[in-house]
Amino acid sequence: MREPGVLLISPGIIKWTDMDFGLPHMVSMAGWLEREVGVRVEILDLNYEGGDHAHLARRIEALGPHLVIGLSCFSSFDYRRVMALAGFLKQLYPDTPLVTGGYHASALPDDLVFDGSPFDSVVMGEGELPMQRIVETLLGGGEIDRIYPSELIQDLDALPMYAWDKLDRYWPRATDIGRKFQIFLSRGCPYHCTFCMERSKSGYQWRAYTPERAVAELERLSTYTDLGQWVINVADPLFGFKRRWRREVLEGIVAKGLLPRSYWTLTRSDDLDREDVQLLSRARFAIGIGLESGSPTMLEKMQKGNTTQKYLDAVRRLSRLANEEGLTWASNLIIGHPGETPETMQETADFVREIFLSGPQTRGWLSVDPFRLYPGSYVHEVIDLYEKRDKARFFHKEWWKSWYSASFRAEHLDPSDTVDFEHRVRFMHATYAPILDGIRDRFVGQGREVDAVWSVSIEGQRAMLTDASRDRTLELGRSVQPDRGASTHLSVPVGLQVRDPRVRQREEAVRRLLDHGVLRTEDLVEALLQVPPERFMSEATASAMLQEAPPLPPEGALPEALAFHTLAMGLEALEPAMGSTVADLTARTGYVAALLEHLVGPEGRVVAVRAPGRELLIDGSFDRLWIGAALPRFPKRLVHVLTEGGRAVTALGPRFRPQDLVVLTRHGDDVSERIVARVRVPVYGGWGGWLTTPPVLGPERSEVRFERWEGPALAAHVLAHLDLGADAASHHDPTLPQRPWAAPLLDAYRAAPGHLALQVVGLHHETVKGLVDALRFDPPPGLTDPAGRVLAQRFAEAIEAERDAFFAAWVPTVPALADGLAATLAALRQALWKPQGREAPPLRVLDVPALGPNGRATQVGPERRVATSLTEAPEHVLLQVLHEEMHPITDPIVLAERKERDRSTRVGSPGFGLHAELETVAVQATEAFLAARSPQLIPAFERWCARLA
Amino acid sequence: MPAHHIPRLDFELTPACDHKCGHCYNVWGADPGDPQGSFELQPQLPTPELMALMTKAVEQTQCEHLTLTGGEPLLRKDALQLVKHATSLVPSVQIITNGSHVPESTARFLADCGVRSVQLTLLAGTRALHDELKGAVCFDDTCRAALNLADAGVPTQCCFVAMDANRGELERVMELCLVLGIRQLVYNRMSPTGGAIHHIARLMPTPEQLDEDLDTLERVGRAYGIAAATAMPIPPCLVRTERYPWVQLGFCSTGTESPNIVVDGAANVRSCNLAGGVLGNLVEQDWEEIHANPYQAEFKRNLPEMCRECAYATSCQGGCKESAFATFGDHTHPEPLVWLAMDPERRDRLRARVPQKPGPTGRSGPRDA
Repeated sequence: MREPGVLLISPGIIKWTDMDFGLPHMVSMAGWLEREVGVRVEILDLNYEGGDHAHLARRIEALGPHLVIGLSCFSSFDYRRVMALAGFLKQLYPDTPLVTGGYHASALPDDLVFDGSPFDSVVMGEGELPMQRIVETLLGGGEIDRIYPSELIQDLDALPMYAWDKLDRYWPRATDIGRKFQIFLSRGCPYHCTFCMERSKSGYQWRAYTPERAVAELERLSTYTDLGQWVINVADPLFGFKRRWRREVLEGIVAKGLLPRSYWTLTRSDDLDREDVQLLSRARFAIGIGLESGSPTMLEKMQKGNTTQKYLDAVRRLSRLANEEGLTWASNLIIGHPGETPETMQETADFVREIFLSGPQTRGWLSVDPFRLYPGSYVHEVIDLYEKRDKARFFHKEWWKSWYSASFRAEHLDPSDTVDFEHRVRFMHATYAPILDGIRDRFVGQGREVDAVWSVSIEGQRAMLTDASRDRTLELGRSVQPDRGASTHLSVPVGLQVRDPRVRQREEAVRRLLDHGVLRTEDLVEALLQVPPERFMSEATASAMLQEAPPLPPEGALPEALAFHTLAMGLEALEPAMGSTVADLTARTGYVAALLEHLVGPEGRVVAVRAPGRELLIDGSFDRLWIGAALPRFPKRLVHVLTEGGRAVTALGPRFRPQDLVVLTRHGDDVSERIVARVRVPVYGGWGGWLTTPPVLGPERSEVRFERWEGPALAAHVLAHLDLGADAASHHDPTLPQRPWAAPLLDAYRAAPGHLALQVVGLHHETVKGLVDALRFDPPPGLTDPAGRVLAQRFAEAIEAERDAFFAAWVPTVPALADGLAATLAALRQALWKPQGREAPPLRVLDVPALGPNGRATQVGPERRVATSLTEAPEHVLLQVLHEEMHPITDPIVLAERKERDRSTRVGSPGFGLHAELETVAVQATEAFLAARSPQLIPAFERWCARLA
Repeated sequence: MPAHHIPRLDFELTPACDHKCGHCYNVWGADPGDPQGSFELQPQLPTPELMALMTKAVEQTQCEHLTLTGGEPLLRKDALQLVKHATSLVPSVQIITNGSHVPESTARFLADCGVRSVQLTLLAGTRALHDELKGAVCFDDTCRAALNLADAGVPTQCCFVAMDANRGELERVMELCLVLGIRQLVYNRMSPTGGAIHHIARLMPTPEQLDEDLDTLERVGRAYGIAAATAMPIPPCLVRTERYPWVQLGFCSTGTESPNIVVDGAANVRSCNLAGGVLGNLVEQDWEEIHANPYQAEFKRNLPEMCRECAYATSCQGGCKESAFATFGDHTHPEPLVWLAMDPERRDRLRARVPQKPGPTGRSGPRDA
């Protein structure tokens, strides 16, 4: 067994638009600890790790044993997620010390270590020395302290070279999708800007690697990766505070040809003359300048220095020199800093117009941000002063404790008694939207491919200043909930799989309900986060549910989904205990039952009643009943199904108007009622419900649905461009036009042993977006090895490239089915499955025209999915579907007798024998089945066989 | 007891009334082109014939309760004579009056006759709004009537008609009831028949208002000891009625064993005050024959399509179907309250089907005046 080591975890960031990679602070710390203490160090980057919480738990276990776990709370925006992740880690490893650090931890250590916190210790400031103390203490058998104060390394050259090999696990994926690479070449900033939190971490002292070492670090990095693929973010708080240092580094970069797509860094403008600008340009640097304001008054208030006019003149000079020397640059503005007045805002706008719009072109662009209150900043430290002196009003002094709208809360303040929040928002949008339009029209890049990066930044800035964005922000200002403090700490990780839009949407919905105080119970939060609704309903329905607008069923039909907040309120009220017995009397999709299963645990029992018939009734004795539809009143007969003290949750009340969501608790022969909320849910049909007719159910267990989905249709359309040669999976259409993506996709297809997964991956995703995201970030089994990932990536690219052309001819309706086809198919399926001792599973037949006479099939949860072209002759469709349905019956029989498992559709390949046998047995069984059950179909079956050869 | 025997009967002593309520359901207020526009007022019977009619009606129906209403019943010169006769026929007589004609002497007379109760209408807790909605200067008279009746020892009921124009007034009316010694309140949501159909867009309450009012009845009624009941049905598809145990909520009685049969001053018999269809004439026919008229049974069977599979189809019968007929000319059309509740935008679209007339909205002046 290995010696216990140090595990450092970066929680990742939710808005991961630049696909940043590098984690230089952790990599530096890892190298330091390994060298100084000789301890093994592992790094987890959750942005790149992928997978869900179970994967994370497995990964952490595989990296163990752990002497100590360090979890970064780098930004205040990470606070909630970090606390949740910490809770999760502490549950997994209750005896392993858990340590945190970063900007937020440095600014407010008591936010992270308190009674009941999962963290044992906080490292303030930079991590190397305090973590060394912690590790040495633990190795010596001692107890670690609660807070480790900041200890700065003065001589950065004393640090070991960046241990980029610590990221070896992520390099392949980062090379594939990463865009921006982070590295530090210096630390600290000597300036005292009031809004900045840097002071809390690295103090006011600027320290740097020697120029030789800095260049050597970049040179070493170039041995790990091709710099040419990256924008390298030299993420120093202030790059090149000293002119000589900066020049030597830049000259070293130029001399050694260490040229990426571009470097990006934040630097000062007052120290740049023509020679510097030329040098920056030659070294492929683009620079960011913290302009912050064009008002001398505000610059003084921001403590940007006492020579504000010189400062503004320096920006003018930089703008001119950048234009002349071809240097790309950007500047940042802060609108609404405490003390801002209408006059100062106007001064800034005038200055910005002069800089960017007075000439025919600009090499610079503008980033406009509202003032945000950051813990650790001077403003935060003396917030009372700003309230008294400038009459500023900060509405959310602990905004980072909000689950949902933290980014809005951070900016929600009245800057002064002359500029309130609404004034600031309206001014910012009205003034800067046209300025940004002007910049966009004038911006001149470097004539290189990297210009696209800057264009994205400019467009992104403009997109934040739309009227819709303004209205949304103002509405939030009117409706935002007051701060609730840190009332709900979770022990379930959020923010994993952030590239999966379904997970992201689910988490956002949960965070919103946490923020609104609807969700309070950790187990329920965990269930809602971990049970994917799209496994039980279509992606579209799941998405609508999470957005509080589930599709309304016909009256009397059971709803597929309730509005998410209604569901959450109801389950909060139900409070099923671990080990309890629960019945869902209105199960349609199984989603609620899955949540309940999570809540009652393995010792509990959940009964989902899918088809209660005319009566809302169940036999047995239950601790909890869930009735997810509206009733006029609670049926007396259900009282005795509850155990004494047992609870039912349902909606009682009107058929056409909102009802009462109620908790009914049994006391003897009666129930007491507590009203939870006013909700609107679909009414229940059948006895005990609003309508005397039986409830109209969703798809029966054996029901067959015919649909046309864009995801599988486009996937098959793309694959139809590929001439796979002697391959049983080929549905090549030679009449399709040549596409540039076809050759690389075909190469990847041939190189990937798991190519079969590609043929059915489309069937798992209703939308193209869902399909592409899955291929990119969460490929299915069979496409998770390196070659498979490349194939998935190429496939995603091809789908995106073909998307517009495909949709130009896309018709979302399903062709009319021949009379009786569905009924015949349903009857045959029942007959097929009955000898297996079970009901036929629900079947969704997807119309995929590109497949022609061929078929594809897969299993998704309890549902079978078959794709084929419904424009083929009806008998052909029927037999194709039936054949695909024969596979789950005959395949297990074949596989039980054969040892090999690798199946391939390529003629002559090692796995083709298995494929051929699976197909032959299924065809023979289909023929025998038809002969016994439906001999009139035998001639059609023979035609089907002949057509597919 | 024979099937045609009924426990109660209403007599409309006169169609005349000196108030001009927009919500008035009297069928003779319908315009000629309205679904109920074919109803024709006929000459009212003189005193002896009307008394004889009352006697015949009580004998043949064997009812034990008479409600004397109108119009305004006390506008008939022989009103008190008729009251006295009624009280001699049955143990229970109620008078529904607009409150403008109950001086002390009348109150004492009613007490001496043994009238069981008198119902007055209060639409608002303030003079200005009440009089505006009544189209008459009558608030003070009504309050005086209540006090006179209380002094005489006649139990008094207050009738509150819920309209959009008096939203939020119920609690003040109940406080007024407390002061006036009234301990029973009949809550009638507006049920438009007759001329009231031309005021639906302006006056029809929303279900939200019914929720608010029922909450008020439950809360204030319990606190003040004011019993509350509804006379116009409130469909359970709009309101969760079981939340209001203090309030006696009823359904339409037409076709039940205790129908609200009405006989007017010309002896014409209708199924209820809101109905325009004449079942027969009690001077010309016997009650048994009139009761055999299939109208009531058919009325009960005729349900709006959306109500036919409803769990409350038998009891609720679709709310007030006479108002559906009066408004839309069809008993199987959803009644206006439900129809508007299902889509509030219909309130504006209603004008295209039913001409709407101007009138007080309750918002023209301060309610505290």
